[in-house]
Amino acid sequence: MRLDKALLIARKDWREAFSSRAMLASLLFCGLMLVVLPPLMLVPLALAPDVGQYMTEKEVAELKAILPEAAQMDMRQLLAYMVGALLTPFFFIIVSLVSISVLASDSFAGEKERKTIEALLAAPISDSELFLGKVLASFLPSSAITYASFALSCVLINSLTADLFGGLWFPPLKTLLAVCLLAPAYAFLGMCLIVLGSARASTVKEASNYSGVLIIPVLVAFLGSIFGGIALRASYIVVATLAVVALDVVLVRMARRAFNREALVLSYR
Amino acid sequence: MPAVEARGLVKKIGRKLVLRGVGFEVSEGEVLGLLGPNGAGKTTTVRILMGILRPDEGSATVMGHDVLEEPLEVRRCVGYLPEVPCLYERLTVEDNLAFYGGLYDIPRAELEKRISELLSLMGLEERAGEPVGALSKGLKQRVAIARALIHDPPVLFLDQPTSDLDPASARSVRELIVELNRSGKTVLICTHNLKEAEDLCDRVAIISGGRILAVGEPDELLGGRRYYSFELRVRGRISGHLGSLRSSDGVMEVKQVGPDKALLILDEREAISGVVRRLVEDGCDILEVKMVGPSLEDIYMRLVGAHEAG
Repeated sequence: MRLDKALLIARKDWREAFSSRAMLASLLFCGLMLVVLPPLMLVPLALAPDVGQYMTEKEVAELKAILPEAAQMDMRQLLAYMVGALLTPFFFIIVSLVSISVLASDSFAGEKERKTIEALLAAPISDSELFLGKVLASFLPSSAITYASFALSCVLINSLTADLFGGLWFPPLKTLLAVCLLAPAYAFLGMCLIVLGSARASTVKEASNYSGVLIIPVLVAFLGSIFGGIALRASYIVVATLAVVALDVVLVRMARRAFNREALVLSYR
Repeated sequence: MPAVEARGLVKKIGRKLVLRGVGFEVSEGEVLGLLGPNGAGKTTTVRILMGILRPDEGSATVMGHDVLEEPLEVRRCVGYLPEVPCLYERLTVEDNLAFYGGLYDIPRAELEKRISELLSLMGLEERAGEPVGALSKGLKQRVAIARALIHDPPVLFLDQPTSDLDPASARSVRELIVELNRSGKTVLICTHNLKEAEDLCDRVAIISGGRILAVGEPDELLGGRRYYSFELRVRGRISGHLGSLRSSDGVMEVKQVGPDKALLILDEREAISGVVRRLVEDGCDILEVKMVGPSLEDIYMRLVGAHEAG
């Protein structure tokens, strides 16, 4: 398998994707959400110093149970920490999933929808090179958006709350692990589902629905940690990442098998 | 060694048996037309020859390369024009060609030269920087043909190259195919356009229901016929002369096709002189006698019609 051919296909997909205003708008929106929303949730803390006064002692205790490393923090620090260590990771995981879904469905099902796939299948490239090219076309920009947005988010969050913590504090280790490892691995899972779905789907919209199901486990984990009082530890995120990577390996093999010329051309209408 | 050889290709798609033992050969430098109605199996045959689909039975080679064993080599030898142009509409003409040139491993400097030559050949120099989506259907087809030629392949597979084109664009594409063949390319054309097959092809393979019904040069196929068609136009109404026409020697069938027109089917070409003489003796003013057959259409209709009926 030749990486240069896969990269050629990926570069073509990027040029195509980024020449579409709708696609650019979707991806910019995803990036903007990641950059702006977490810091935005901290603004009330900066503007209203007494923001936590309405929380009961029980609620504070519950929050500290979920975030045990914040046990010694005051109310304002606790709330900022909650945004940075609890909400932000889930937020990044969901938005990364959305951005890769937009790219992957355009890359895989888009070729069918725009009736461009047959000439590509007739080119002297192997199924593996074609598959890898499409994977890179979706995964690399999606990861780039996630990391770049995270870097900007770190700058904004720290600049808003450095005084509160007496220095730079964001990202906590578990946020760093969740955003840099778990979010891309989970997004990759979404991409594999889209590839599997694209073998049947003939439109971009239809294909993008296949990754939607992955939002549910994220929401369950989020609600479970808030209402179930489950402490979010860095070790849990590492375990979750490993589990997702294992699933990635299984699904990418299934997706690679589903991604063959015959299946693609026969589902092409 | 034939440039393209298909032997007993069988292909089932879902529950439908699409090909039932398709076999033919295309010699180097020849233009073979795969002529058949929609759903006959033309596109499936070409997709198998391109290594996109796998046959359930049978084998095929292109320039000596087995389509199952060496699909990448086969694809390097063939320029493929699918039924739809398959162009990236958001990319420019030049970008489309450059992308495919890269897939064929053409060195950058050589690729630039090749693109420039193809743009010139297709009359697309002025449109090179425009997104393909902004071009007319005819120009898109020219870009798609340029893409099929980007690696200067010895063999071309053209799947319905003029379908959906206006008459002028279709004509220019046909002229281009003739030029390409003159330059030495072997061409396999899938078409349901009889005129196109008759004008362009050295030989024609008539396919219907996944079977090759006849293969041969258009003249050879026509030579096997036992009847000839003539259109006759007279002054006034022709209905009064139909009896005389039917009783003339050599006339197999008479069909009125207008108030003053009839179509005659004769068992031999020379019989028309006797028909004309008879009408003149009857006092009929003949305005026009036109031979409308034998044509490939007759052969095609007879073979495909009989196959579909049987």
